[in-house]
Amino acid sequence: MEKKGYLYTIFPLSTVGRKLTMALTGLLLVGFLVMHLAGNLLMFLGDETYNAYSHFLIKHPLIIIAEIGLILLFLFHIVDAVILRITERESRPKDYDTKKSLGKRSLSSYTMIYSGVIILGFLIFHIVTMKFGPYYQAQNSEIEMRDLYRLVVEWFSKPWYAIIYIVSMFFLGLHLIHAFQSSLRTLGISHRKYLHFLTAVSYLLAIVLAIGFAALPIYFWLFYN
Amino acid sequence: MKFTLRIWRQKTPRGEGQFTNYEIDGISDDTSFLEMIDILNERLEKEGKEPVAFDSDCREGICGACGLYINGTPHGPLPATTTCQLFMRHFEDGQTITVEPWRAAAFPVVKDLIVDRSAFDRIIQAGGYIAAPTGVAHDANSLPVAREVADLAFDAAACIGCGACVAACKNSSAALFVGAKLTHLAVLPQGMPNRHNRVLRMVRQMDAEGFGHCSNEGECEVACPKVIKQENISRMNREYFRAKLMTFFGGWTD
Amino acid sequence: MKLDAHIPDGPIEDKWQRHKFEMKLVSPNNKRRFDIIVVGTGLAGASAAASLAELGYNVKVFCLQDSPRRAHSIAAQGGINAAKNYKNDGDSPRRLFYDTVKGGDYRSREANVFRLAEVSVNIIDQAVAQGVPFNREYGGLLDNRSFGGAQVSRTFYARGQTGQQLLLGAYQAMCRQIYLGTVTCYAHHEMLDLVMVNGEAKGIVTRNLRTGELETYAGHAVVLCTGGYANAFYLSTNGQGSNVTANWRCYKRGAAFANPCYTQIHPTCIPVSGDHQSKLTLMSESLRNDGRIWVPKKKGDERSPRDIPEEERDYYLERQYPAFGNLVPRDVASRASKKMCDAGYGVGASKRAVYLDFAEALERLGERNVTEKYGNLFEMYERITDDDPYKIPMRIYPAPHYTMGGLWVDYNLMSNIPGLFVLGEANFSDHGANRLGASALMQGLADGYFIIPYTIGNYLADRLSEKLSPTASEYVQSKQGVAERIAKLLSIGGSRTSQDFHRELGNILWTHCGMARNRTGLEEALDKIPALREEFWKNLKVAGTGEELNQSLERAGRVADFLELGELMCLDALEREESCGGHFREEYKTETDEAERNDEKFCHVAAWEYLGDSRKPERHVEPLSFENIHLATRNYK
Ligand SMILES: Cc1cc2nc3c(=O)[nH]c(=O)nc-3n(C[C@H](O)[C@H](O)[C@H](O)COP(=O)(O)OP(=O)(O)OC[C@H]3O[C@@H](n4cnc5c(N)ncnc54)[C@H](O)[C@@H]3O)c2cc1C
Ligand code: HEM
Ligand code: HEM
Ligand code: SF4
Ligand code: F3S
Ligand code: FES
Repeated sequence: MEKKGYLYTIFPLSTVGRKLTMALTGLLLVGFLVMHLAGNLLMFLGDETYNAYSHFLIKHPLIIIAEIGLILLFLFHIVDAVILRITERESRPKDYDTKKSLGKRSLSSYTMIYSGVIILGFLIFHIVTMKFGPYYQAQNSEIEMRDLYRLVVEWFSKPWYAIIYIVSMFFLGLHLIHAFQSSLRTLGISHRKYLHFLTAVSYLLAIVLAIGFAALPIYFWLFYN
Repeated sequence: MKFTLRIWRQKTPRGEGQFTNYEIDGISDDTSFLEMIDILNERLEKEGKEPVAFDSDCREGICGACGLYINGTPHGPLPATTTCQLFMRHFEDGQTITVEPWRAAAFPVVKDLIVDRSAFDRIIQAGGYIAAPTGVAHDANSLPVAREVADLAFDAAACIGCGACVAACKNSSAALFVGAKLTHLAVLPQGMPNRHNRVLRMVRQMDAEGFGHCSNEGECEVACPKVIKQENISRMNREYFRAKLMTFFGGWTD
Repeated sequence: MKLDAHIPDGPIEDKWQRHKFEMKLVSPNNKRRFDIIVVGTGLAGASAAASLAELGYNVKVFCLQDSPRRAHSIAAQGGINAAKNYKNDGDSPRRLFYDTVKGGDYRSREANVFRLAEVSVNIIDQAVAQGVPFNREYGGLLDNRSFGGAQVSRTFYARGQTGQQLLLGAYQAMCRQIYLGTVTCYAHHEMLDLVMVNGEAKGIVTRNLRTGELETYAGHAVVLCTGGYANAFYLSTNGQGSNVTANWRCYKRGAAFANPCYTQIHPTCIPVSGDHQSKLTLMSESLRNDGRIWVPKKKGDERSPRDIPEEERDYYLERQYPAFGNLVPRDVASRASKKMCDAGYGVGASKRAVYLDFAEALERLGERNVTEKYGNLFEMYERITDDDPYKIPMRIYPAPHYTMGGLWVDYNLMSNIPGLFVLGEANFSDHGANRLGASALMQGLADGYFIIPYTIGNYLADRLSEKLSPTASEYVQSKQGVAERIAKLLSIGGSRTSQDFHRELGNILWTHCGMARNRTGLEEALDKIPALREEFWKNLKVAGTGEELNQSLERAGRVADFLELGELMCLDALEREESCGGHFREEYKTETDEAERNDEKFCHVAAWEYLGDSRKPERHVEPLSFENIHLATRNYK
């Protein structure tokens, strides 16, 4: 393992251990996405509900712990992804001249690192523009709270912004198609009997999350005004 | 039949290699792929040129010695078939066929199409066995094993150690090979006592040899001439997870 | 030369137990001081290496393949015998002993065979403890099947891959010892000479097949487990690498070669299809349990087998041998097929094949059961021939498969060279003139797990003070000799490849020293082979150099030895003027064309001593006495 470079020394794990970390962090991130989506969908219920909800979250005493946890999840997931990518390169220094797919890999499975990097890029952009974006005071509320609803609506009414989101959600979906079933396999959950079921669930989850998230920019860009 | 063979030639392990084209004619369709290279080699030998080096022994799909990367797939286009069991009737007359060795850091090329697969041996040495000293075994039938379990063990034990799984995997992962051996030994009651340190040691060795990780792509399962199932990899992960927990919390040593 | 078999006294049941007690022991702390060389990693070699290392000896093990797991034992399909009597059908070590001696046509040593039958039961226990996944019944107990030549079910099997699973068990046991540092494994090293010091075997010379480097290794004893020489026939069911070189080098160093003419031609193989063919594929004998062998009653019948009505088929084995039917021993079945084809009843394009038909079995058992039992064999058949055995009968023909002959050994498995032990198919000991199905795996493992660990101690116990000196002149000279021979092979610069010579030799042997032999043919072969050999050394072409991986050179060296062995096989066949087991001399047969032994003159082992290249080897005999089994004519009717 020593020979695998610097990152290995700060985070030594076997390939199997590393994949276990990826799967666990990945699954927890999926959990976060589900919650985040559920919260975001509240926007369809109007500004008051959504703002109240986000206010509740932002002001929650435990939020700082959740945020640190989230950062760690991303950090571990990404560092592992990068290390594995390096091993992958090192484990086949000279590639084949002619190479064919044997039919079991999928677009999703062999583009994980690319879809991952796109998600990362999206994430930075997303947090900079949303979390650290302009601060609007909510108008029609008794207590002091941020009008995130307005912020989101304003952003999404800019077509380029909405399009960045929609495209990114495509890659998120792509990542998740392989991600969910893969993480279950990594965690040792796989059996001929329910394998097809898990694959179906994986696709379903990826599609629901991708479309769910994309629904907001699409709606606010095209239909809201 | 007639073919153009585009074969990887490499004289020494560290040397540079390149593809060389050979035209070959008059091959009958019941000739096996390796017999076709035999024919080419006899011709080269007569011309005073160096024959193409490749590995084979049993030529009936069981020893795991043969293994060529043919037109972009390990062991050629047929499912569940080793290179030695591949016959020319599965190719088209006049076709150009590219032949390469397995490519992986852990399988360095020795010469032409021969690679060094001793990494597999070292993985088995690290733990791929049940410690059963000679001469002290109990009567075989004193330990009944459910037929389903025996079958499961057998399916995994059918691995011939050819390395096609590594060759097929984008990460050059040996997960299928290791998973198969672990499954064979872990599901049998005889294998229980060594269970935890077996997986820890084998995985450690697998990494030390420079094989990559498994992304659960499943190409290996398709490439495997013995159709070893991808589920064996999951079992390896499970075994590993369990062993880590047992060594961390349960007082087991590895 | 004196051939003393060192058979212990006493009643046959007690011989081994008694011998085990009487043999000298080496104490555990002294075992570490001994280096043992094991050549070969098949069932015999791997099991010996693992067991000896477990006892505490330092073991060095060698094989040709890139991994010890690929030894040709891996290819055995059908099964392994053991007198467990799990089926309660009246089996016992004594019955297995009886069947083996009878199957070998009374040309094996009683004491050895009895011991084999006795330890057979331990092999299964050992294998199961190692995790060998034998087939089981629904109750979880081990399953058995019956195999050619036996009337009880005593064959244990692991689907169609029994050899593979047993070998992996032994290989893994050896791997464990490698990890512990007691075994050092030298894969891709070919033994090219035996080093003799003061008349005893004390080392070997090898060539590293990857680099071409010649190396010498010293050991207090050398254990040869290098398999059989059926590849002398060029086309056989053996692997490409199977060879006689190691044995032959030892023969040339003085080890007696016993019964070289005893070769087994397996009845159920896929027939030859053309000159390009590099090997013949065996279809497991187990197929004969359910498949029926037949030829059309009409000569040269061109109809498709499915169009030939029942009454126009000749199920000749069932007709001639009603008691055993399709399950007669291999030699009998093979000869019967040859006879039918010689008489013009053969089928297929070459007319040298007979049908093995599963139509009846498919009807009786249903396709599912047939698939379960033989699915992988059917698949293999279809892959090779492009015919589907579910629809159309298989075409089969006999092919060289196994060699009962080998280096002569005594009861301790030591050859006449002190310190040189020979195990597995490489020795001659247990199968007489014909081996029963599923007995070779048994013998290899018996030798390696249960016999050599005891008998080697007996030899070494007297040699505690012996120091090895790997730089002594004997080692240097042997290595020098090997280097010269390689240089010679490389320097001929002729125009024929070694394969070409091998093919021609194979043809001669197959025609004159194959399933049926006669004086004229053998004499003709004895003219042709030396001439071919002479041409070989003048007109051989080997590409490349000796200092690199060079497969042409490897092959050439092996063919050179086959060219010498071939002659000895014919010589032995010529001088054994009787028919027994796999050795069928057309001059010696009963009125019904069965093999006719001559117990008065040939109830012995013939062991050949090398006397130099220009002299005829000397034939020694070790008489065989049968005290527990009466000499009788084998009768499978
Ligand atoms: C296709 C087939 C099917 C069979 N089926 C059955 C069956 O069902 N039941 C049964 O009982 N028997 C069966 N047999 C017979 C049985 O498999 C063999 O007799 C037995 O396995 C031989 O084992 P071994 O250890 O003596 O030699 P092998 O397994 O042949 O091993 C020989 C070893 O010696 C090494 N070697 C050889 N020469 C050299 C050298 N010069 N230097 C270094 N190393 C060398 C090789 O590398 C190899 O490791 C079958 C045989 C064949 C060919
Ligand atoms: C269209 C869909 C989305 C909308 C409308 C949306 C909206 C928001 C908003 C308003 C915030 C700021 C909350 C705050 O300031 O605390 C936020 C934070 C965040 N979003 Fe999104 N988001 C969307 C999609 C995504 C996706 C796809 C991801 C993940 C890949 C993501 C990851 C995050 C993260 C990590 C934070 C920071 C959380 C925190 O700091 O607590 N979001 N999102
Ligand atoms: C919200 C964001 C993300 C989620 C929910 C997520 C989820 C997952 C999951 C569940 C897996 C499967 C793990 C396994 O095979 O066991 C996975 C794999 C992967 N992820 Fe992510 N991921 C996210 C973001 C990222 C990012 C930002 C990157 C990279 C920069 C990334 C790179 C990868 C890679 C490369 C893999 C494949 C690893 C392999 O080769 O097996 N992911 N992801
Ligand atoms: S798992 Fe399959 S592909 Fe991999 S080594 Fe074993 S038999 Fe070959
Ligand atoms: S192809 Fe490779 S990624 Fe895993 S499932 Fe097979 S080892
Ligand atoms: S040569 Fe043995 S598997 Fe192909």
